[in-house]
Amino acid sequence: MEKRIESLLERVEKPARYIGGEVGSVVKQDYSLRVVLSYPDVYEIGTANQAVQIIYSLINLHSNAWAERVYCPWPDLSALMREESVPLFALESWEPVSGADLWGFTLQHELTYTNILEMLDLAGVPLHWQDRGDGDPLVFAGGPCASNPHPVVAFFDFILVGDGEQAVPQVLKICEEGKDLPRRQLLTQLADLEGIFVPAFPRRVKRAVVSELDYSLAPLRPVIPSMGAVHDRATLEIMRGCTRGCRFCMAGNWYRPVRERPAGEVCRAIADLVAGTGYDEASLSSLSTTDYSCIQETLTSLAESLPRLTVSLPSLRVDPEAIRLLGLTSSRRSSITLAPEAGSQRLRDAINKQVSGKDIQQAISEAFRCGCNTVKLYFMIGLPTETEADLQGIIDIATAARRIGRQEGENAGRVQINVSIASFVPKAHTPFQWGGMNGREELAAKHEFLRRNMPRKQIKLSLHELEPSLVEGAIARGRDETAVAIETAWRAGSGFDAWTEKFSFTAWETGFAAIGSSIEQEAIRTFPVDAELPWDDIDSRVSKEFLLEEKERADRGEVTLDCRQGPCENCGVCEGDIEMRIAKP
Amino acid sequence: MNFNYQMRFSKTGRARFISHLDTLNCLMRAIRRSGFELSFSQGMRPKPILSLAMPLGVGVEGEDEICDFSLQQRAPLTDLAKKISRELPQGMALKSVGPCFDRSKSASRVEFCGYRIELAEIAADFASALAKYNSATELVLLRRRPKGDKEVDIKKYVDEVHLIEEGGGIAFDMKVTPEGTARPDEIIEALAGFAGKEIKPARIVRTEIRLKEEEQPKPPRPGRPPYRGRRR
Repeated sequence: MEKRIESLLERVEKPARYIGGEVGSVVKQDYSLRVVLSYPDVYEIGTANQAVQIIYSLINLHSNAWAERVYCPWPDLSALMREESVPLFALESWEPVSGADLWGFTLQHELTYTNILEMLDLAGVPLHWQDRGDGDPLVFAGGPCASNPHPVVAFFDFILVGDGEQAVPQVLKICEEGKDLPRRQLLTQLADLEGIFVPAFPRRVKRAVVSELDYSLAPLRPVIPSMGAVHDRATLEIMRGCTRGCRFCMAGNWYRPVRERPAGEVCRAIADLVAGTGYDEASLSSLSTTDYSCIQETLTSLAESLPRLTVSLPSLRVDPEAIRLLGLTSSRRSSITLAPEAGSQRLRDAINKQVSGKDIQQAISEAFRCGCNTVKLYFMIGLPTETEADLQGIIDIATAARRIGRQEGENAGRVQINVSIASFVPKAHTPFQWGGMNGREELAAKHEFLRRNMPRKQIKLSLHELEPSLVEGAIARGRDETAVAIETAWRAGSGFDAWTEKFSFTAWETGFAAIGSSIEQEAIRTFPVDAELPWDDIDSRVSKEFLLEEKERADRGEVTLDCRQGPCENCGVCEGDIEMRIAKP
Repeated sequence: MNFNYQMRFSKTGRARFISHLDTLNCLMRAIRRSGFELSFSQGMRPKPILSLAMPLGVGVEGEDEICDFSLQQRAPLTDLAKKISRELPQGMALKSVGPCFDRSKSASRVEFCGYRIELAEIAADFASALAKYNSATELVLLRRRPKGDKEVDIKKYVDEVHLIEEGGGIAFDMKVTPEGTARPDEIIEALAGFAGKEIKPARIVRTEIRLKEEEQPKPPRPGRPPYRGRRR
């Protein structure tokens, strides 16, 4: 097998994608179970994924099972693999994935779904759970898109809904003890676990939530890619969940309540992580990092104890205070990213992004004064209740940013404002789940409006491609039938859909035509508020009444306060030992 | 203060697929993880002072590669060797590390590289193909490059190719000059031409890198004390 794989690798681009052997990767000789974990995209994109990394560390360091990884082969290798009958092999062992006991995929993005089918096919594992036998691995999925698993549930034996830290050990235990049991019996046992959805035995499943982030399970010795990869730095999750309550945000609604790591633990973990990996950059990862209650102390402490370390703060809150926090990190930045999301106060209130026009201007001003010369602004179009005035607002913010930059910045001529426009996709389990996406014509008209009216000088406008966003919209709030569309699209040649050069609209049209529908029809679909939704059998722990109330507030332009400071809005998630955990109350 | 070191390492097996730039990163991180601080260059964008004598093509193994690097502090050698060894990915291994007193980097002093190419099968008339190669006065090939194709006379760089006695394969020395050098696959291409059929290498290995000796600074003239400034 090894010789055959090596001969293939001599003929493909970037062969280092497939060799494994990285520092931090684990090879076990004695193990109870062999588990393979996958992010369904190419290696250099997949290794950055923290979900796979967390479960990999959990299984390898805290259980008797062995976890390996496999990512999606690039089309040049998959073509050769098919020609020469070489099945998909895992990175650590170079053994066929089809021999594993369990195979887990993380569902992070709908446009990676066709790669899941590609990988199953390359491994020789039947695509549909009903067709698998006792010799096939139990194929499962987790991750944020598991919140509405129906578009892909046909391909999985079970779905892990919510946090994996407690659910995964329970799954391993059942599989270890039931090694000789037939498949169906194992699945019956798994169906009894909290947070596990088994299509063979469908029932309403409650999202699994860990009450706090366990220090011992933080991946402090991650796999370090031997080749260039994205986000190649030390990453530490400092808190899970978010209290801001932005209505469009799937993650903010799904990962409630907020659970922060204690202050000292963050610094200790970063020090451990940096010593163990040799990275010179660390990212404090969360949905809204500047909201972490001890962020100031943490940054000051890191700047003192690890002065050479570049600290990266993704997801900055849009206000001058947050920008000033950047000053506490010991590195000089030339560009920052802010996400106002909507151009007018009215629309920002409707989507509950509580950021005032003054906040935006002061944040931008602070950024330029700290030495930045580039400001990136992220917006969405196609939000509910949007009008042309809101689009004009985007243009106004961009031009104001340019003016501020020229006034406050060190070098007026070097000022650069990059405006990035994404198309809003309504997601399940959010207040906007009932409304449809804007159709192609409407979005194209909005693109045209922005193109015509946005000044060009020192402002760069990037409009995200419409077609992939529409496909995302067609799948995100899909149902069981959507799986047929996905499979048809894959057979018609879809793969690596998140990659512009690989995305094929016609393959996807073919896919949705097979279920008597179209991409547009699925994306713009609306549901009446009393209708049964395809994802109602997944209990996010946030009540439907709360989501509906939020939707109605959006229609009225009313804001809901952050529940850290404001009143509890009874979203329903806090119960028993599941509650908000703040490091510094 | 910079303390200069030179290490020799091997890159074999699957690690041969790691590219030149990625190899530099692996070495840099291995040193960092070992707890030693690399020195940085000065200027707008300080970079760690670490370089390889010569890049190794993707897919080519290296048995004795050279890496020069500088640390901010003197490091105990056994400690340095032991720790770096532990931090390399599978397929890369440290052979030796020691202080380096050369004033110029290895990359500027590479004179010859040795190569060994293992072949799955040796045709009966292969020896005559080798003889034809060795007796040619020049061999011009077209090298395809993204920047534009170039004609290269490979005989200038590889004059003689030997057959390895046991374990079917060939070996040769490749000269490295400021004008450039040849590539192992070009030698194979030329031999294939003489043999009249395709030659499929099983393994391409760079066996050694030989550096030019550094010119020692001239010793002071005997008899006269060195000038020490204005006579008092």
